[in-house]
Amino acid sequence: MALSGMRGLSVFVSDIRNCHNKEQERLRVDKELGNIRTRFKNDKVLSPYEKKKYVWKMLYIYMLGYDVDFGHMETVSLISAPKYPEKQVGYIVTSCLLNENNDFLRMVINTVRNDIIGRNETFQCLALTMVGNIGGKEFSESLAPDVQKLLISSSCRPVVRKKAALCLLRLYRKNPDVVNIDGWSDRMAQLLDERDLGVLTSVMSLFVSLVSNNAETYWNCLPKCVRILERMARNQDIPQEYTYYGIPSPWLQVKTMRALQYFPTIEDPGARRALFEVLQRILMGTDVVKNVNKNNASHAVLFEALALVMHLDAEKEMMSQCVALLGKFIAVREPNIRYLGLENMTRMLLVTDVQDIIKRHQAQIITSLKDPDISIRRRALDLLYGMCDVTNAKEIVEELLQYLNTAEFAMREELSLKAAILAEKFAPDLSWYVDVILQLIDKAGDFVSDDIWYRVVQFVTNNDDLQPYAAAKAREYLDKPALHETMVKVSAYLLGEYGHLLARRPGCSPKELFAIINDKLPTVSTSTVAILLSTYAKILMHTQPPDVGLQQQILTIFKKYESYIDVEIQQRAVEYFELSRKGAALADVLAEMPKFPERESALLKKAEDAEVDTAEQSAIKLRSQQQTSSALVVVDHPPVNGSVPASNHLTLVKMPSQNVAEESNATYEEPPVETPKENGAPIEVESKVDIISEANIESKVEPPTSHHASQADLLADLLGPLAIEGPPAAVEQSPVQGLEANQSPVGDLALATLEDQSNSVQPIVNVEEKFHILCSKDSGVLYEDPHIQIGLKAEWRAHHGRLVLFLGNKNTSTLVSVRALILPPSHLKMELSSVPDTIPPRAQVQIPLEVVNLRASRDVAVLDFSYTFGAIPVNVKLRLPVVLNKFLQPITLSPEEFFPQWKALNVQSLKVQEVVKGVKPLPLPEMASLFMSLHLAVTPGLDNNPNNLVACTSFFSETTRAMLCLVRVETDPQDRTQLRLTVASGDQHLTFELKEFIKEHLIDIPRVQAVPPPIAVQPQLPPAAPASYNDPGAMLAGLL
Amino acid sequence: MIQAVMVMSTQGKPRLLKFYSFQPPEKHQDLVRGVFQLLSARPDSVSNFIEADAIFGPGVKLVYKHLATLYFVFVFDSSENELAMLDLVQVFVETLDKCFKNVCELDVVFNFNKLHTILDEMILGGQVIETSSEQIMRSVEEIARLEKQSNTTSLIPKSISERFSR
Repeated sequence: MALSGMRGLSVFVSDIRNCHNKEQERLRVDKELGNIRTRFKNDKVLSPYEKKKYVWKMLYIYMLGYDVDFGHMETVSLISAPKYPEKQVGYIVTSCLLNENNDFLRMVINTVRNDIIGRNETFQCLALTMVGNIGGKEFSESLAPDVQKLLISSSCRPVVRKKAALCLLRLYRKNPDVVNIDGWSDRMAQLLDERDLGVLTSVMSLFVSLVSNNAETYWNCLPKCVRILERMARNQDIPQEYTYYGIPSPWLQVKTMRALQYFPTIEDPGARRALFEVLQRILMGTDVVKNVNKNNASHAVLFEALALVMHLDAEKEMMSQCVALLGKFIAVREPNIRYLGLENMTRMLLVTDVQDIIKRHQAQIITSLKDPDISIRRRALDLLYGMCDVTNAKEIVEELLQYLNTAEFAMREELSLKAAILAEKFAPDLSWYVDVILQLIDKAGDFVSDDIWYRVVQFVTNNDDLQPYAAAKAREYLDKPALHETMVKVSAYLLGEYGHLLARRPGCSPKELFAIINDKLPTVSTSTVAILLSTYAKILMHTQPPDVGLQQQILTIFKKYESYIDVEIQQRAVEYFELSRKGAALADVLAEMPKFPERESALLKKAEDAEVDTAEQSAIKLRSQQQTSSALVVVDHPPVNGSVPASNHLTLVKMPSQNVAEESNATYEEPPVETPKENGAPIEVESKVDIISEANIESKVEPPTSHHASQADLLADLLGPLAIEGPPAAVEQSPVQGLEANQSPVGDLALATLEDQSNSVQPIVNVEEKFHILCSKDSGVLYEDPHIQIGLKAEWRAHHGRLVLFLGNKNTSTLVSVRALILPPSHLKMELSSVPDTIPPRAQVQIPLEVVNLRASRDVAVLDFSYTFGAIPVNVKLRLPVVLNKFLQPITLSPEEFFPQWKALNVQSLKVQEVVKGVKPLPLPEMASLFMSLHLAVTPGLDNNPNNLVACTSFFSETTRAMLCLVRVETDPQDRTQLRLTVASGDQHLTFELKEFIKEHLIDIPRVQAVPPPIAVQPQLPPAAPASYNDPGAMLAGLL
Repeated sequence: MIQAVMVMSTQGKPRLLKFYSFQPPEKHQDLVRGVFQLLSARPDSVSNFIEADAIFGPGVKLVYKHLATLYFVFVFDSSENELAMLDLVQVFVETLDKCFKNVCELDVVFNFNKLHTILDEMILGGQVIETSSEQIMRSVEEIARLEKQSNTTSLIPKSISERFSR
């Protein structure tokens, strides 16, 4: 090594090394800093050598962790030194000490620029390196064109150009406009022809970054990348020095394959074939050898090739080959390969059709859960989590529970969350689910979040047959000597609610239950005390005939807690004490908790969010996004579990879902204050509506609801946090319904309102657009003008719908003569609650609207709404977004389920086929997402022809109940404007309507939607009005 | 992108720190400590990869090599290939070996400035710039030649730096 040393620097480093403790070191450093500071102050006497030496010392001190808050200017000024050694030190230390916003950098920007455009190659390199390391907006603005020139200059030596490429990359990150110039993609393509591998590697890094932001622009570069890979694979023209342990530059190969993963697909058959040849060669030609470094290098290439193969959606055969390779890797001795094998197998889960092959390796993966390396254990956990489905959930979850005993703290939280999620998602039966969660709480109570135990309580509450089982389990756990507090909470809660179901079992009399729970009381925290008090009240209520001794005991406790330090507890104690003396009324007030409304699991939601966070950025993430948007592979649920249909999720409620009283009752329990307010008012008020409309069952709700604070009482324990965790408007998004985003189900140009010509008040929103949005969403604004805003919120369950109209007066004066009528089409039964005649200033009223779907139809219901403001009467007719797709629920069928159904429907008029012309020319993935938006689950793999789409859904109506609908679209790749559409269902009317409905969305010509004329309709129109009045088309015809 | 390169002793003392994505200076020592805790907890013959989300943020990993009394650590995000990073650590170590003829911790301690020079020839702005240790050596030798030419420095051979060792 010929680099020069500096004596002073060595002495200083040596002194530091000789310090025996931190204190000595600090003294020595302080002395040195003082010395440097004085020297810098009279810098006339400093030689360049000394300056250089001090600057290095500063960097050393800085590295040791001491604050170096001076000397920055001296460091920066070295950059302007005429001679190389000082300049070099200046550049290097500046890029370590200063960040891009440092003002001193501005001082040297001219020097840097002069160095870059100057003739001195070594100066160029130094300047490019520093600019590339620091980045910065100002550098970007003032230097980018010069850097660019160096990169594409033919006269520059490779050593300069490769630095220019990476410097430009850094500047591009700060300011993407630096490559925003005409013909840049052609320049890029030329650069990829570079022969020098050093330059090419740098250029490829730049290219990866560009293409990751905007692949579209660089299609022309794609064949070049393939050619580079071919050159490497054949080892053509690769200088010895770029061959690393016999592998032609693994870095360049890896980067090139990474770049290709940013292109959505590779269509050019020639390039595709050539690429697959290279990939095949890499997959087949990589062996495990003795030399570790060679192994690493060859496997770096191999793993990137695997990622690329997955991205390209290769033939199944090649995919299976990849899985087989990965299967081999996860069992090898070399830990790095094992680690990457597991990681890539997890990515592989995104690929369709290979899950089953992956499952064959389950035993090996479970073994990896016991690997000495935590990195590998984490990978194994991720993979097991991803590959879990109904078939293997029991086994996997039990492994995870077992592993929980030995897992290090760092992993326990993740582990228990994952186990809980899997148990919920894939439970073969509910009692197993309860077992798993209780075990989780028992083994890792500290790591079990509240969500987990709230969820199990919800399940138990909603499933009657589960209640005795859960109560018995809870009772068993209470016998354990040391119990986690969460277990105390959940056991006490369950026994309070359902303990009476166990009454005949030994050890389960009210007295015994009370005694064993009361044992825990002295040691638990306030939040648990609150639950225990409620439990006591419940036990008291369930004790029939009353047991005076027990009553005395419990009342004594209530009395005692009336003066407890926590006001919440005080209140409970007082209320329960009073209640318990009310005799029979007690049973009413403390009756069993009502069923919970179905809602998306806070846990599952959390899991999805977490997946988004930790998902691989870069290529993999991009790819999964593409897949989601094309809806071919991953639908609606987290990508890793892509193969599992949503219907496999446990659903909360088994009870008849139309039990409106119970539902609203449950809604009522959600403390309004805690309901998430995405769009503010509507949700909040809805709760109030329920309060009013369900006031008659108030007595059933416990605890006493005389004032607001008590709402945050016992119920809030369970419901409050859940309501917060739940999605906005949680109630309407139950997984069962799966009603989510969809597009406008009705023609684009439909007239949304039929304004009376006399109306002087115009809407201030695009009413038609609002209608379309609401066709795909379940809450939002339907109409708005200067005086009133009409909002809408809807919940759908099977063939029922519950809408609430929110009429908000925006003015400071009253709106009068308010009228709202529904003109329902014949296929919908609609009941609108009565509308008040006036709306007070700044007030909002809510009008519930019940909908029942009788049969399939594309007709639309219309709201005829009028009011008078001042002397101006206003009348609008608004289409209501009660459209066909609201009653569809996508389902995914396996080939074994699909084909028998498809064949069985081979009956004329049940299965209808039509060649549709004039179709909007859509690429297949877009068509698939259009279908998804209509709640038609596109199921890949059913039709072998890649130009075809097959989709399944369930339609709900009163006449058909749940009815399976199957759809097949055969497209013509030559002519995208036509296709053949086949629709099949068990009902010919439904088949026809669904076919027309789909057609409307496929055809280019906007459909003009008929809207009923403003005919006079009596208030409270009976739901089953004559067809001619209900059919908007007929009505319009009548008008004309 | 490579976010940082760290060389530290098996005692946890930093020997070289270079950050390619800005980290506030007051955080540097915490990062060193955090990484060292991860490293020192690992037995031999496990993988060279550690997920470092907790220290550097989501998706960030580190790859390390443990050689004699030193850890060589590269911190990188998901846009890089893990094994390629490991190869790069190897190139770095091999280059140091060529520079110092059997590199040992003392070489690294007393020549941390040279390490910066070498690293700058290998990584720029978080991207690998040169993977051939021959090329890197050539550039470094060129720099040495330029330094000598300017006559302002004295040359201290390795034997002298060894005198300072304890």
